Amino acid sequence: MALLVLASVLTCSVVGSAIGARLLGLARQTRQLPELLIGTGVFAYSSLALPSLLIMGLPSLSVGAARVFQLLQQTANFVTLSAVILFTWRVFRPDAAWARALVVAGIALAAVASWGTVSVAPETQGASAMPEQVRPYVSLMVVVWAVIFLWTGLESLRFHAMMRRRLALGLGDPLVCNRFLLWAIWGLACGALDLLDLGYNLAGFDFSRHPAPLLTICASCLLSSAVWYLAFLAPESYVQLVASRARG
Amino acid sequence: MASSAAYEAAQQVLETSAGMERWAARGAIQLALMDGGFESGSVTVAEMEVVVDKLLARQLETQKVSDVAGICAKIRAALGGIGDAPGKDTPDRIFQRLGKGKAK
Repeated sequence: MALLVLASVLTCSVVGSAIGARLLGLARQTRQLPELLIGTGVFAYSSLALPSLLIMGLPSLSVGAARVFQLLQQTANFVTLSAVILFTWRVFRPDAAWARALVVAGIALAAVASWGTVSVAPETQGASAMPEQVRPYVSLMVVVWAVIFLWTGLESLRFHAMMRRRLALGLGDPLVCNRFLLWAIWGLACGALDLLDLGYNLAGFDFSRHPAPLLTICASCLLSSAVWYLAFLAPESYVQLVASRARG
Repeated sequence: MASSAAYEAAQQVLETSAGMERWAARGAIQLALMDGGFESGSVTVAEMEVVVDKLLARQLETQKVSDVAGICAKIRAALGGIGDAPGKDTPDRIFQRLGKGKAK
């Protein structure tokens, strides 16, 4: 199990860092906010949050170093969450007052959850098990993530349906239509996995040792790697496949 | 959300040439746009031309509007005389930029 977690987290970290860097490079060219937001989110999660999570699991890590990586991981996680919720608002609902309120509430609640999580420092060397007093904050963070994932997934699914109707009229790009579907799959699946994590947290599972939460980490990392790759760095063979399927 | 220039032009023709009430004209266009997967605020002239040909004509027929072909021709003529307002960043344009290429 440990090897599977290591392989999936490393895969996601490498793939996500490359794609995040590409999106940030794109943002530099276009000077547009959506690519800056999603590039920041993917890059911060893949290159900072995930490696920090792995390092925190090392048994030989000193308490001081564990504290540093805990702060880094939580900061990167908060940056990622803020970037994804801002991206969803900016892309899908830039004019909706309720969406702005949801963004403010989501970021505020995530800040509270992050602060609550880092307020309890690791106490002993190699202690990766979650302290009990942190669990309410972890639940809050998981709920905020789930809401954001489900929101972005549902918005993207709605646009995928619209793009399919355009394709039926001979308008639109099948690859963009497929990109909406991939983003929807990612959002909805990660939202569902987060709800599973909420259940595990409420049941008192140790996230660093129990196989069920470790499996959800593997699933979300592998899914994220695949979706980000196909959506933002699709190989020519995949582009051709999508195009040929659209032609019927 | 403000309607696009193409939407406004089509609505204008329906009101003046088909004698439709404002709400009826907007409703007919809105239904045609929904069938085509478009939104009133971002539909472009080129997209509206396709919607008029393939969807709005059928929509007007179901509403028993007379001389549908003539009205659609007038809408196309009106669309030919306008341009799209620059640069509204829609989800499809953003998702187009985020990818590496374009399917052929």
